[in-house]
Amino acid sequence: MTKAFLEPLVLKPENEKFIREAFSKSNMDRVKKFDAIKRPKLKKIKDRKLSITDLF
Amino acid sequence: MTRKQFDEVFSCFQLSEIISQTPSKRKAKKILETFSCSKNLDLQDFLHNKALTFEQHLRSRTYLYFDNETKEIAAYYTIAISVFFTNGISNETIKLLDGYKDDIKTIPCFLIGQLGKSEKYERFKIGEYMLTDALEIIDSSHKSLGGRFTLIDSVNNSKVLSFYKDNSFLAIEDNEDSESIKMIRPYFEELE
Repeated sequence: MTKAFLEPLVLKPENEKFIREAFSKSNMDRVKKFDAIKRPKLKKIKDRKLSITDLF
Repeated sequence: MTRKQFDEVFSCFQLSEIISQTPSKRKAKKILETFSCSKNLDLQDFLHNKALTFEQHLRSRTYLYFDNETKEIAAYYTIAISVFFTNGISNETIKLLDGYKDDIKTIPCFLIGQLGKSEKYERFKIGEYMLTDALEIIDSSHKSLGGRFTLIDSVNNSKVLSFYKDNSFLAIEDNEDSESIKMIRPYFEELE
């Protein structure tokens, strides 16, 4: 959201457990699985059809 | 919609390209105003009123998906480099975030501040392709510069949060009353 660009990004101390979870081995496995299996299928295949002048 | 179909239907342009080729700021603004999203006015307002200035002042980079037929903006995302403040957080958690020091006050990160589609394309399942494109750009910067994690400031909506979770992000906040929820996707290379 816009406020992420305008306000400091901070974390409440009570949410530290989520950081530990994010950097955990189980989350690493989850991210790596996503990168290996799902992500390749989502990557761009073709270049854009329009040229910049088409927009004006 | 498959990725192939998505690439056939939409063309992606960086806002900087449009600014550099447009004769006037008014014309660029008019193009941005082809995007509408009454369900998420923050998303709409950012593109209509802030994206141009942010791009010109190098605060962020916005990528726009144009419908190849109508030439209207169907969706967009905005990314930037940012800093995460660690005040009030334990040294142990700071070290996890920073990877080296446990008493640092700010940690650089990549930020996906906006990502969404126009209401006209509400039924199009294209978010995963847009997020993948954003991550490709961020990964390219990460390879050149390093960096510990990417942060998304997501709308606090269960459907949206599930979408990001299914796409490798994890919430680092839990507040039902908050307008937004921060989610991160760490880089793990050095942990292996």
